[in-house]
Amino acid sequence: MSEEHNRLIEGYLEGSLGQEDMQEVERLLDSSEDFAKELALQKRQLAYVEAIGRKELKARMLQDFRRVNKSAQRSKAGMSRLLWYAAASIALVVAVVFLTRLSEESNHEAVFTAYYAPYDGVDVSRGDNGLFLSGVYDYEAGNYQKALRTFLATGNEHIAEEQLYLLISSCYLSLENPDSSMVWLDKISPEAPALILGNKDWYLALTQLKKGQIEQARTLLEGIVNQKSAFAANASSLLKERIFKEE
Amino acid sequence: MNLNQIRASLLAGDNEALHYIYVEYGNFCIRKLMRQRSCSMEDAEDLFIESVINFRSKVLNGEIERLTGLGFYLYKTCENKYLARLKDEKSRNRKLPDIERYFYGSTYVSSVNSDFDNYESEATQHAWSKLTEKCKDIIYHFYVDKLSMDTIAELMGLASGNVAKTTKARCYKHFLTYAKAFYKNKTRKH
Repeated sequence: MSEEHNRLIEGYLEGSLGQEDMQEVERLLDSSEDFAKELALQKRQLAYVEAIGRKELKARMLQDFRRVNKSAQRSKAGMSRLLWYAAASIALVVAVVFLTRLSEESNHEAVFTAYYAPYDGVDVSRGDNGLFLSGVYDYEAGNYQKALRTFLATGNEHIAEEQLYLLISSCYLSLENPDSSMVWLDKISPEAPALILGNKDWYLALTQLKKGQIEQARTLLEGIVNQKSAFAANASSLLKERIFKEE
Repeated sequence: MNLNQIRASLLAGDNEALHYIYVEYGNFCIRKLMRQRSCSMEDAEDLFIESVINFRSKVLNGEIERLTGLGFYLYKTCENKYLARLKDEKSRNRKLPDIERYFYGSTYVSSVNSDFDNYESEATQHAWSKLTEKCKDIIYHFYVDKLSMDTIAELMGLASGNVAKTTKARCYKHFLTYAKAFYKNKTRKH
């Protein structure tokens, strides 16, 4: 095969021949069996090259893909494992904090429940007032909501003002409302009789205990113990509870 | 990564764009093919790589200038290739003579290289294996990817399109020489 024929075949296969060269190829295909055979052979060889080249490229890329994909999956798995560890750590910390809080809460709640008894120093000449008396009965029966409504409605016509405040604050405390209880205890004047003030300090200490204000409760209780008021023994005993030692 | 960045990376010959495509869309296409077309994992991987090869050629050729949703494009190519294979297999089974089907089963491909004579395919294979990687690449890019000489030059780090053209011509000549020598040698022996 001459160089010229090779050039024509190569150009023909590339599709880069001009019009004159194309006519020459067509003429040669008709006249030369060798030329036609060679062109057909090279066409087949190129088809083969296409198949084999594609196969090689595919094999190379597939190998690369599997390697990259595997490492990406491993890194994703590592990342998600890391995220799981982080989430688990956070959950653990939250749980510990929550349980500690819960245990603290349940501690001071439990101590409060053990020491709390509603104010029972009601001094009223029964029969004076039916409505107020019904409030007292409700109070003694543990119907604090009803009793509270009655006490707030009747005012201090039939009872000493400080006693009424103690009753109302006691109702609130029994109804799990230490904030309102504290408001009514604060209304009691420092000039009130010692017994009333002793009650006031004791219930104020219990209200603070209920609210978890351990330090303030401790100060009040220590005062009660020092003043040797009617609640000194109770206060002293309460101060020995673990909750006050831990703080 | 946008299309320009992908093209730049492919032209630079680094694997960044391909790795990006593998990681971002590989599992998406493969899982979808397995789920929606009941492909085996191996077939799905094969189809995905074929679609990446197809995409790569088109980007290098400049046939794709704008593209939104590369994942969807790749999956659609996979699906088309899957359907083409299915069609091809069906028509091949129809054409396969009963006797061949009986002996070799339905997957038998009758006379793949029927156009080649006994030694031609062997000679072509031999010649291809004798070529350097650079020669294989340039021939592949030109005849299979149908890339222009300028693009090939850029892709392969050659000085210009003319250098690429000369290199391709030389490589192709080597290829023919190796094939002819092998063929002559074989036919002389027999």
